[in-house]
Amino acid sequence: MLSAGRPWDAQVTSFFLANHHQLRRYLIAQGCAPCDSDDIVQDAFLIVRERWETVSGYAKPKAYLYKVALRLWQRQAAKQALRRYRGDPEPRLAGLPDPRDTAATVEVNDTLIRWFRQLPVQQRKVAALRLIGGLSEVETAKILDLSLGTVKSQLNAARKRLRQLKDQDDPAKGGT
Amino acid sequence: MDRIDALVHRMTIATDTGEDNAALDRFIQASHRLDTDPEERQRIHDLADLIDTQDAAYGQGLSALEHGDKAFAEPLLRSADAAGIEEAAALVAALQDLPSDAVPHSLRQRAADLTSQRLILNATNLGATAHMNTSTPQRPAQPSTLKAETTSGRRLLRLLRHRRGKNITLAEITALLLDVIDVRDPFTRAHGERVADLAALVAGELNMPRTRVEEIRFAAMFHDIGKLNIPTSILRKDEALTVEEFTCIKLHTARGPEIVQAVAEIFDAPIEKDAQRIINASLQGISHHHERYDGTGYPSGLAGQQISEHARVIAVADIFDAMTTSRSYRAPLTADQAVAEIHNLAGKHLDPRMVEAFLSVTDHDSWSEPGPSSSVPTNSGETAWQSHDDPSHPLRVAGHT
Repeated sequence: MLSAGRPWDAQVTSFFLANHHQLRRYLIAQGCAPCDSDDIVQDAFLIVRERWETVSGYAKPKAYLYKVALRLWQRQAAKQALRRYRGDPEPRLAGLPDPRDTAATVEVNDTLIRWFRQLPVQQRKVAALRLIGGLSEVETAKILDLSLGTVKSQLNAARKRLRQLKDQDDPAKGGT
Repeated sequence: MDRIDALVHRMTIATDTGEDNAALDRFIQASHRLDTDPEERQRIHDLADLIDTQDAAYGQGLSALEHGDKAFAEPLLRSADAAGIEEAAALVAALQDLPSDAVPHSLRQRAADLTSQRLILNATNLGATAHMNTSTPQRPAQPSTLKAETTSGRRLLRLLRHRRGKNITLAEITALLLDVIDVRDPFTRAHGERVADLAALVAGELNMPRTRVEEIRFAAMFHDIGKLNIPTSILRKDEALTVEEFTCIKLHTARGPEIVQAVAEIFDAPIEKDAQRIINASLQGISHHHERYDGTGYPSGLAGQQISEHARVIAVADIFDAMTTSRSYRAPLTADQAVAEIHNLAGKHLDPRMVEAFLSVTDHDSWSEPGPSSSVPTNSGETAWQSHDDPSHPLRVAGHT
């Protein structure tokens, strides 16, 4: 339990333990570097802690947590993309991944992250919230400000691609 | 669960045992720093406020775009774009491509569609309908009650626990839809409720089965829900509409059933069978409430018995309510005057059988004539309203008077 501060810290602690790992995985699947993801996870939970009285009134405070984390990540990714463009245009000229693609710099030794890195951006956004974060389709639509129909279609496309990637990884099915 | 979903889930939760404790230790330290360091506390509050501001900017940006105010909309949408909202980015790009400050109808329509989509999704997340737990259609809670309930976290959670595992009822769907309409257009909500009450009386007068009366009540309550997708600048326009704008108004009869069907998809739990049946049966009534008995209405120009019974009942109730409420371009008729007008419309705009039933309803001792106080919702802040689909008044389309 947290040692000081808020009457609801016990609840926040339980909420943290139930969600921090998934949230970190979600951020890394989005393209966030692992060291940055720790800071964003922490800030997101601190914001939830500061807003707990309001947030706990929502049907699912988890949706608020993911929205906050996504916004913090978007903010950081935008700054990083700007720095990369200003500092070094060479990677683009060399045909390397677009630095605006936030998943391009993630380590590829993690199978799940490697799969998500190969999804188109919108499929990745939707599938990461739904499949890694475990949010509902409606919550996913609300967080991303997309229609429910778009979420469903992007999710189906992502599932199809993920199955292909799994089969490619599976030697019994002809993968490498 | 899909097998790939299950696999991704397993791969997500795989973790080493020491990770939780280390992460929690770091979080406890960060919390302590926040509690003791004013600068750190300010940083976290600023981030939280920024996220709130981005959400508000998107909503206000869409609203400004609906009104055709490019100068106001663009910076707000830019802020939402910076938050990673893809639609905001697309709208900013579209605004930049415009040759002038005039916002075309297609962009205003897009803003209205996105606003409607957000309203519906937000309503489900607020859980504003959780207090409705009976299947009997009833007068929904007043907005103030809904607001109080949505801000009472403990009560809401208790209700949600109570609801867990149960199917969604018609009353819950009704409350959610009314909540959405109320945010966008309180007049349409009040109008829908009055038309629903009157249509149910007419259907009852015709000795329709109880289930049919329920279908008609539901369809009448939401006959104008398609107006959620009409840009506010058109809905509230003082002058006569252009042909393009009137086409947009007419589309509310097509958008209405789409919205009602879409709402049925946004609940996590299944919908009760009876509720689903009533929703399905209501769609024809919503689609065709502007058809006229003589075939001069829209959207399909249907005539006589081609028009669904639901729509023919709603048409009578709708026109009576339109006549007896004020508009910015005319004063309301008295109930007696409206009844006489409706009598004259039998066989023309209206089905004579429905008119006869309506007249019987108004002859009953128990019939309470609508008073002036019911003509305009008290929380609307308006004294007279536009209604460019007013069935009691000639079209006000430029060049077609």
